[in-house]
Amino acid sequence: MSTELNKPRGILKNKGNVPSTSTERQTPDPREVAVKHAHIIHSRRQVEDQIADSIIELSKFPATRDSSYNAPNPAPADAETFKNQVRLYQPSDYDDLIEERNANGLCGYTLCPNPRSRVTGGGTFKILNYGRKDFNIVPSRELEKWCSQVCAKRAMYVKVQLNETAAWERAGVASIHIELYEETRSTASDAITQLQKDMENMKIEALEKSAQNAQSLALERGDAIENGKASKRSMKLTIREKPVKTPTAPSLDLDDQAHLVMEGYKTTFDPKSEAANQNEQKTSARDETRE
Amino acid sequence: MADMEQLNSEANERNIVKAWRAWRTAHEMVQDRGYELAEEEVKISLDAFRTQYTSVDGTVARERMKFSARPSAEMVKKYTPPATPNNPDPQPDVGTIWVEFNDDTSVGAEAMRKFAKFCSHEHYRTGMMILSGNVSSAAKKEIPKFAQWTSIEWFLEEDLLINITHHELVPRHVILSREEKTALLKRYRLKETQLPRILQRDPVAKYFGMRRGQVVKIIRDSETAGRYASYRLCV
Repeated sequence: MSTELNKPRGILKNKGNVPSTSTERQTPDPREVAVKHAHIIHSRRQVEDQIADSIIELSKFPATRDSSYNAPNPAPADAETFKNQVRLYQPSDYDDLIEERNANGLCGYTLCPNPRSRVTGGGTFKILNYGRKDFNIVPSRELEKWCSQVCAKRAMYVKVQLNETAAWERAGVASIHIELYEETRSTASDAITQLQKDMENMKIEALEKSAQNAQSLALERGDAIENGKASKRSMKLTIREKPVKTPTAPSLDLDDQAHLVMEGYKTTFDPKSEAANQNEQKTSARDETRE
Repeated sequence: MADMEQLNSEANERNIVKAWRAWRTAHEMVQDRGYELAEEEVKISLDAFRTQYTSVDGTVARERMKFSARPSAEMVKKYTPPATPNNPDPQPDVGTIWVEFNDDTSVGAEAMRKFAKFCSHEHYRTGMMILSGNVSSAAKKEIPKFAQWTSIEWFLEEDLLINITHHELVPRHVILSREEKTALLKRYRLKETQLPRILQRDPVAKYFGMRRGQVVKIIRDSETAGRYASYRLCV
């Protein structure tokens, strides 16, 4: 028995007649592919390690302990390092940093030199601002993260600027800038800069979207994408325009009966069908009387 | 003043008893896993513990509470993979264990990294931390980074106040060796995935330091059958 007979045959149609030369070109060395992917994973790990190291470093901040510097007015060098390192963080990493600082007994905001506050008394919840408009019941765990409410605000101001996308995708992007709470307060043209920033972000988003659209369209058309470049379509395309007749608008002047026309349609009464209806009604009435 | 002193000493006494119980459970755990420990080390009395591990002012000196243990020959045999033509002299998966008590209210990434570095530098295959506070999430992320050299485990001291395996509702758990596992799968014509499962973070699995892929035999009393054995695969 020959083995070729037993070999299962695919039931699917052959997908196009791909020239044999291109298949040889397309199948790369498996070792090369493996090495390439290993490099990608390695670089991702490196970025993760970098973030873990920076969490440890920032958990002991501020580096310069001077009475002239405080949370609203940090040492410029510290602020710069903080902004540079936090750039790569995801919001979850930032939460880790806050937790780590609290483990060290510091306020959750990185540039604040104060120790974290301790809520007096037991209980898992704490009542804030009793009898005022901004009354709130807060878990004391949340409250103990910070030295004051202003610091909580400052820290959250940084957190909302962080991006959810993976760190290695953003590692090379230079346009990401983190702003501190006080920095934006001091500038007079606050709204304008914010607007400009938003516009920039929107532009980037629009570009990404259009690229994505083009890619999915190419996929739908069956254009193979090689090394980021779309290959030439193999089939021949001829575009033939179809003649389109525009429908004519209904005219109102139908032999002097324009007043009967409703939205271009003239209702007509069929006398025959009316008579039939009446007959039916009569017969049914008769049936009822019989019963 | 005298009242305050008495209150203080009472709190100290309570702390000492807690630390002693955790210390005993940790020793029992290490012994149950198959490491070699002397009987007097495991069954240390409260008075002996007090003289050894309290400082002058009567508080527990947790920085002094640390010990290591070597695996017994039986355990080494159990954890050695079978020899293959490619690997005629396989190394066992277990080595010396290092157990340390920690006093900090919360353990951060830096402390965890220091501990893992110490364990891997001293060639301890397993490092166990027994904490009074909690572990931060960044510290938990440090653990898998050292998995190549040392496996780090941590327990809360309050979880070790009693030995859970001594509870009457916890049946006997026996971890199977590789040969026993293959024999079991062969006997019942099973694939690994067809066994019932037990989570790695299950308290008993944590107690025995089970690894993914190990099978545990659970022997429980049965009213009808006398004894009933079931098997679970650690996932």
